[in-house]
Amino acid sequence: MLKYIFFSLKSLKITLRSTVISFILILITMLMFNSLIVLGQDSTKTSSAFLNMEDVIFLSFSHPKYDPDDLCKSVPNIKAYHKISSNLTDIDTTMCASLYYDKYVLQHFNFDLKNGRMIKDSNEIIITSALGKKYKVGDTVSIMYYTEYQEQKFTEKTVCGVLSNDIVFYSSSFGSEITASEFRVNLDDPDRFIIGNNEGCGFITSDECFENPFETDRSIIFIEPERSDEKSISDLCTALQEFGCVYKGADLIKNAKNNETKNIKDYRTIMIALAILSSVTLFGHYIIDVYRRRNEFAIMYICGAENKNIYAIEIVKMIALVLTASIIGTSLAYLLIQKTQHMTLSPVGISISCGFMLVYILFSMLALYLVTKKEDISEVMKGE
Amino acid sequence: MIQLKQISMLYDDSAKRKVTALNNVSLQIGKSDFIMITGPSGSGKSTLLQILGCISKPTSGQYFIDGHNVCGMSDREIAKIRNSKIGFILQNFGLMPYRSVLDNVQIPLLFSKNRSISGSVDKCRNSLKKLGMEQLAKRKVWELSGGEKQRVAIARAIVNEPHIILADEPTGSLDPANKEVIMQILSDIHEEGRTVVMVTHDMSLLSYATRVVRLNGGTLSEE
Ligand SMILES: Nc1ncnc2c1ncn2[C@@H]1O[C@H](COP(=O)(O)OP(=O)(O)OP(=O)(O)O)[C@@H](O)[C@H]1O
Ligand SMILES: [Mg+2]
Repeated sequence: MLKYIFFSLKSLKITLRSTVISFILILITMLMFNSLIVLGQDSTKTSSAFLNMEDVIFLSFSHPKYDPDDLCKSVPNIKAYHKISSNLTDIDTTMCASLYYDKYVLQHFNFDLKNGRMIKDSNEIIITSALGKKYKVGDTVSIMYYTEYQEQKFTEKTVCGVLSNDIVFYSSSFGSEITASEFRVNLDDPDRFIIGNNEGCGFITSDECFENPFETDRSIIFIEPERSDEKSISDLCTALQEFGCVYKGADLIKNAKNNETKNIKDYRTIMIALAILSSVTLFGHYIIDVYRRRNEFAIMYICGAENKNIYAIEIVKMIALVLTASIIGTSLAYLLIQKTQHMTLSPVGISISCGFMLVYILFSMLALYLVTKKEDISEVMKGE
Repeated sequence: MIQLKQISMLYDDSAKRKVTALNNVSLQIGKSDFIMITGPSGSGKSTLLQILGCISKPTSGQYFIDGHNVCGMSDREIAKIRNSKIGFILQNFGLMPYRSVLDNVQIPLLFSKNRSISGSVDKCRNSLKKLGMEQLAKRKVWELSGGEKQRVAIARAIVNEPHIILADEPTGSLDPANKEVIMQILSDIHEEGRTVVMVTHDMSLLSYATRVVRLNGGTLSEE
């Protein structure tokens, strides 16, 4: 069996020129397929639009469905923190230094209030269920935190609600942004807490109590949906002027998408043409190749091969070729896309290319079948 | 051991007319025969050899090998017979030119249903040795001379130790010296106890045969 596989693989080397041609064609086809599909898909996604933003204030009047922190992680110039204001009159230059959490935040992060109520003033906090085992609504907890200058500070809060979730706030979320990595639960002294990020508990509070010197020049701001009238937008724009450009979130995304789609469109025609050309050439090349080699099949037949043996030899060869070429082609596409668009490969793209390769193999077998029909074999025996 | 009963072979030519290549051919070949088939061009010699070699099926008639009727067999069984009982030598060698001598000789072993010999390199080397070709094992076939190629083809034909060797004008494209060598080899193969059936135009070779049959317009006659 091993000999058999070896024999079929050897033919890749023997017909080296034809192997190289097929290899390159498969490579190009794979590259084009993957790039086309990935680019085509992501041009409609918000995430890539985000990645094209810099130095902007982002106003969104609809509830965010994505996590801005995640989106901005790889972009050096954007610091994401979320602000949700329940009241437009709060929006002035000082507003950006305060955080206020309302039910939209909780919804957004799938938090669920088990006991108590939302925060009403800055001395209140909501705790997670892990802390809820120790404290109940009305208790006072003492909190230690660090400022961005590494100063240790203390503050006291009254528990106004307990979440049924027990999530840990990750860095740069919910006001924990500045010093997130230093936030630890102090287990030795249960009365003194800091916001936890590794230890299985955390809390939500209004941020004002930490004299919080957030940088405000690059920020993403979300505003709750109810207040999204035109007047509010213009108010906001005036209020936030000094922070830079102010856009309506939807417009911003639309712009970013348009830019990107335009970029892709420039290449798309070429890519589609290349993909079609290379796949057609690939099929044509195989037909010619198999026809040229019908002598070889006749010899195998005379030496006692069944047709299925001949197919098997060809299939082993094809799979080896297709597999290496498409793995390399796909990786190449991946690298290329990464470099240019900050995107990753899509599973759809990969499955479509796999499907194409399957069609290619099946089609080749059909060509082989037509070439190795018995009449041909006796014809070849005479003609050679 | 081989028995042809009233074999006829009709071909459709390109104008869709029937061409009779073989007409009611009956032939019995014994185990120790060295049969030569002669006849004018187009008389059906190659056709007969292809039927004997289980490469084509006759239009009508019956063909028995060791008592088994080949015409009633499945493709799989026929492939097995081609592989294990028959060795084919062709006028134009029928080798894969860009593969090595060893690879070419190995082909029948790749398709052997017998696990113990399937793909065995030793067997190939033995077979090449018999023909004095072992030092050429690694060479590519296209580099060889006509006589060498034909010896490789013979090495391949006997590698599976078949009982029947079929040769279609094996000396047709060789010079007289090589002709002599190849005929000697075929004689030796016959001496080993194999049946040899050979098609030839060359009357000077008939002396090697134990029996000569003549085809004329698809009809067989004994000489
Ligand atoms: N595949 C085919 N299709 C149509 N006719 C065929 C086919 N093969 C052979 N024939 C016809 O059958 C007849 C016998 O052909 P065959 O090749 O057996 O002759 P031959 O005796 O081997 O001739 P040669 O000595 O020239 O090789 C010829 O008339 C040929 O035209
Ligand atoms: Mg002939």
